[in-house]
Amino acid sequence: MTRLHATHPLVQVETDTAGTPIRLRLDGTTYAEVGICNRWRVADDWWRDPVARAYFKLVTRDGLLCTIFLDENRGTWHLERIFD
Amino acid sequence: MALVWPSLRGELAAPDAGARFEVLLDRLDDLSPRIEALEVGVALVDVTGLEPMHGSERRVAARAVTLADVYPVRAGIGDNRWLAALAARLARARTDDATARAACLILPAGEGRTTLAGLPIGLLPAEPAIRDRFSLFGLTSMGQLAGLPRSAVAAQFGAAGERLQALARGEDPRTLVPRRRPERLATTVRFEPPAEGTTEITLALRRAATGLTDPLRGRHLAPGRATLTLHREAAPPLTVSLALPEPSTEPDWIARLLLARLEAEVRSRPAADADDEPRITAIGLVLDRLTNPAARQLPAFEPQAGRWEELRWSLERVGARFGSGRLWRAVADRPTAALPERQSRLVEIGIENAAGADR
Repeated sequence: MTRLHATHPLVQVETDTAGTPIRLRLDGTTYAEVGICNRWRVADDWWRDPVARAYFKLVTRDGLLCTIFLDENRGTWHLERIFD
Repeated sequence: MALVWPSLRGELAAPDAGARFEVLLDRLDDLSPRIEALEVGVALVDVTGLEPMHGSERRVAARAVTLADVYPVRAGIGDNRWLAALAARLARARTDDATARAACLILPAGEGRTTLAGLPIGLLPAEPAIRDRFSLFGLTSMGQLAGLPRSAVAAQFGAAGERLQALARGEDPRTLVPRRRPERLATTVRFEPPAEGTTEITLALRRAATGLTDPLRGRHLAPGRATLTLHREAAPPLTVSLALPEPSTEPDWIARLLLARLEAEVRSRPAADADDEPRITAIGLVLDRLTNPAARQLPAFEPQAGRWEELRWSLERVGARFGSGRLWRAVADRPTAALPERQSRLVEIGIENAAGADR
């Protein structure tokens, strides 16, 4: 079961020099050890309202598995999905 | 033949103009069994043989004007549809009465050609090209065109000219195509003494729905809309109307949906009003929008589809009871969309055209 966040709440993310998340703060909790399971990019709607996102599927040491993305147009990080 | 022309034209842009004109046609149906709706706002009524029932043609026209109720009306009476239409077009309200909302003109029976003779030829429904040629030939009145030999008119103006000459002579072979009156079934159940609880009303409603739907089943017809009216003691009647999710002859489902809608209606009223519920003296049930539902044997061949159908009706009932914006269904109709939030969407479950639209 997963929970898809249609409103895409903001999350605080710290990245390394390559732009890969290394620390995540979500709902007041900081997850320091973050492992990247997968990463991909989505670019869509370039002809009207361009969408450019860098997706990361993360797993933390506490067992939190989630998908976050960087909105490359705005430079903000958002939570998209949490896997139970 | 009479033409009734309510001045709906200014209101044609209104979305309910068609529905309002249908109401007027239903009223005109009570006047004559042969009505044709030419377009929204124009109705043709066959008044032949109505004299013994309604009196002279002028009286019939007056009655039609009364039925049109709030609309200013132009009525015309003539021997055929062309003469009736022309009469309605030429009708003028009395100039000495500024409040007159109706105008009526009667062209005497059998004198069509004589009456038209002096009228300008421009009143004929002719193409601009033919109209120009009429003026080239010096034809200015209908009488001039009517007096020409038919073969000469055909040679100069073709078939269209022949038709126009027939009209100028007051002849129109087109017959009236009567509209089929939309069927509606109605029944009333009275309570003596008046009912207080819902049980009695529920049972009576189911019985009424069964009584109306049983004969329909034999005719392969099913209603698309049901209207329930509660006649209350010392209170105005309460009416709920709903378009069924699909035409159905299941009296139980119709009754359940109506009661759910009624419950929602009662709950939406102010609390003070709901405290002291008046007793019910009678209920009226009307089924209309009859259609021939597609033949289906879902339970026999496809149990899954049958169960889904049952679930859908239940959801409709819950939706009707709790109002709009409460029940949603997730539809994954774009599984290949790049963005996850676009792969699925939420669709509200509920009955479209909820109560109110037809009240």
